[in-house]
Amino acid sequence: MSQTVLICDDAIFMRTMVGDILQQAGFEIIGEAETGVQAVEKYKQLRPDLVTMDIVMPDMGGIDAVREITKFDPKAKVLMCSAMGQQALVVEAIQAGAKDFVVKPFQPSRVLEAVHRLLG
Amino acid sequence: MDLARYTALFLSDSRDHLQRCNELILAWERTPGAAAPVAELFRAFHSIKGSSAALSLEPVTAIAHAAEQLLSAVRQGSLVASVDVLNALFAAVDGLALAVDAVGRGELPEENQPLVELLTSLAPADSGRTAEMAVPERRLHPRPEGESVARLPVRQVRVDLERLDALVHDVGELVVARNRLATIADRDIGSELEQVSGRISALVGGLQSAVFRARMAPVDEVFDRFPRMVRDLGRDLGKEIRLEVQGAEIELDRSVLDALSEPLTHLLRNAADHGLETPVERAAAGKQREGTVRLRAERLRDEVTVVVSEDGRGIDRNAVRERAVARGLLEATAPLPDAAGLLRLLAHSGLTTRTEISTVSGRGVGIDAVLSRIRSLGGRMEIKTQAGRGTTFLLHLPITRAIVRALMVGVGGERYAIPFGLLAEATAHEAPEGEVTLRGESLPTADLRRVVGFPPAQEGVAAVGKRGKRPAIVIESGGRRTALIVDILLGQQDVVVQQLEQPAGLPPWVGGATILSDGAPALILDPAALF
Repeated sequence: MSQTVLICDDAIFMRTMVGDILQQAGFEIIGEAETGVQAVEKYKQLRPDLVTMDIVMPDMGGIDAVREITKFDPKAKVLMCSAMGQQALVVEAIQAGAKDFVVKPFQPSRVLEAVHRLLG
Repeated sequence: MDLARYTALFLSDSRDHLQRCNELILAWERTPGAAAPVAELFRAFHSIKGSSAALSLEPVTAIAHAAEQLLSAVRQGSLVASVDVLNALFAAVDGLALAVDAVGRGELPEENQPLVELLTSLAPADSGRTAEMAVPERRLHPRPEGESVARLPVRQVRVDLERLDALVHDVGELVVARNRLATIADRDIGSELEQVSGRISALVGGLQSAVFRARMAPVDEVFDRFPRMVRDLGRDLGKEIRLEVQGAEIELDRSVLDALSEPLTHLLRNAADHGLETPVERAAAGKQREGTVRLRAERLRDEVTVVVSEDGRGIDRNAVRERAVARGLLEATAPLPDAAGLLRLLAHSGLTTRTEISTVSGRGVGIDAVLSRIRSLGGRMEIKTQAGRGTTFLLHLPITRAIVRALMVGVGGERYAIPFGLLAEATAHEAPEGEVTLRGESLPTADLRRVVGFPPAQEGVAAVGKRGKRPAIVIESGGRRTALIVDILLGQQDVVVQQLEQPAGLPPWVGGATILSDGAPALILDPAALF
C-alpha cells in the first residue's frame, strides 16, 4: 500500500508541484490544506504518513501548525518547505517538531530524498 | 516537469494576487489609521516569489523578494508605511504585472533593477531576515467569531472562450433549424410532428439561454482595475478624486465585456482629466475639494447600462456651439444643441482635438472612438450634463452579441437585417431628390438597391410606393447621420448572428449573416461601412 501525504501550502502552484513530485514517486496525496488551521484539522482527520508544510500561510502559520500537530501526535512526520531567506525560521520549525526541511524552489530529487529519509 | 501547466497556474495565480494587492494597498492608503493588511500583502508577494523561483523566472522573484523585505520591515516596526512606501509597493505590483504579462506572452521577463533598487533602498539595512508571522495577522475587516476560516470552494471550471464560441455557434444553427421545423410543423396543428416540434422548441430555448448564461461574466472583471487607475490619475493630475463603483456583480457577455474596457478607460480618464476641477477650483465654487467619479452598472431587461459620471464643471453648451459654428458644423443661427446634438458634436472629429476642446469644455477627447465602439457592440450612448454640476455618460449595451435585434428591410425581393443600435429613425424619400432631407438637413444618402447591385427603382415597380416615395432609414454612426433608402420596411426581428470569416472580396458593409425562421439566409448590414 502506498504511503499517504497531506500537502499544506496556501499557493495552489506549490501544492500542485509538490503533489506531482510525490505522486510520480508513488505516494498517495490524501489531502491538501491552504491554511495552518486546515492543516491541523486535516491531520487529525486523515492521519497521513507524511505532511509537507509551508511556513507562510494565512490564519495560522506553518510553525504553529507543526506545534499543534506534534502536540496531537508526537510521532507525526512533518517536512517543512521554506523559501529562501527563511533559514532562521527552519530552526524554530524543527524545535516545534518538524523532522526535516527543503528549500524552495524545489529540486524533485531533493524533496524525494528528504521524504524517504523521513519515512525511513 | 509539465512546464505549460505550471506556467498557466503561475499566470492565473499571480494575476489574482496582484489584483488583490492593488485592492489592499488602495484600502491601506485610503484609511491610514486602520489595521494594515501587511500579512496578506506579504503572503501574496511571497507566493509569487515561490512560484516564480520554481519556474526560474529570476526577474520576477527579485521584485517579489524585495517587496517582501519592505513589508517585513514595516511589520517589524523598523519602517513607517509612508506615502513613499505605498507608492513603492504600487510600483512593485506594476512591475510584477508587466513581468507576468511577458511570461504570458511566452517571453522571458526583463530584469527591473531600478525597481528592485527602489524597494531595497526603502527597507532599512538590518531587515535582511524575512520574519514570519510573529505579529498576529491583522485584518481590514475582522472576521466574525466562529466563521469558518477556509474560503468556500467556488465550484467552477475554466473554459476556453473559443470552445464556448463554438458551442454558441452550434446552438445558433440549432435555433435556426428549430425555427424551420416549427414553420413546417405549424402547417399541421395537432399532429404528432407539431407536438414533437413544440417540445424541441422548448428544449432548444432552454439550451440557448443556458449557453448564453455560461458566457456571462461580472463587469467587475473590467471594473476592478479602475480604482487603481483613477487613484494614479488623481495623483498625476494633482486632483483629489474618489471613485465609487456600483453594480460590479452585474453580468455581461464575455465578448461585450472585453470590448468595454477601452471605452470605459477613455471615459474615466476624461472624467478625471477634463470633467473634474482642481481642488482649488472646486473650493472656489463652493464644492468639496474631493471630486467624485461614479461608475455604475445596472441591468434592465436585455440591456445593461453602464454609467460614468462625475460632479465636475459640466459642459458649456454655448462654447461647444460657438466652436461648432466656427468649424462650419452648425449654422450661426442654430439653437443650443440638445443632449443628442451635443453628443454628436463632441464626437465629431473636428471637435475632438484635445487642445481645442479643453479650452472650451475640457471634453470630447476620443468620444468618437467611444461612440463607435459602443455602436459596434449594438449599443447606444447618451450624455447628460449640467453646468457646474457635472457630466454623465450612459452606455446602453445588449447583454449579448450573439443575438441582435434588427430591423428587417427588403430590396428587390431580398431581405437584409440592420442592427437596431445604429438606427436613429425612419423617414421617407421623395423620388427625384438625390439626398434624403431630415427636418431641413440634407443627409449623405445611399440607395440599398444600388449598393447590392439591383437596377434602380422605377415608377410603377412594386417596390416603389405611391407618388414615388420610398422608405429611408436614418443611421447614426461616428457622430454623423446618414440615410439609406430601401424598398420596404419589414419589421423587427431578433436574429442569431453567424460570424463570417472575412473572405476576400466580401463587401465591407456585410457585418454578418443570419438564417431567418423560414430557412432563408439574410445578410446583416453594417451601414456605417456604406459611407
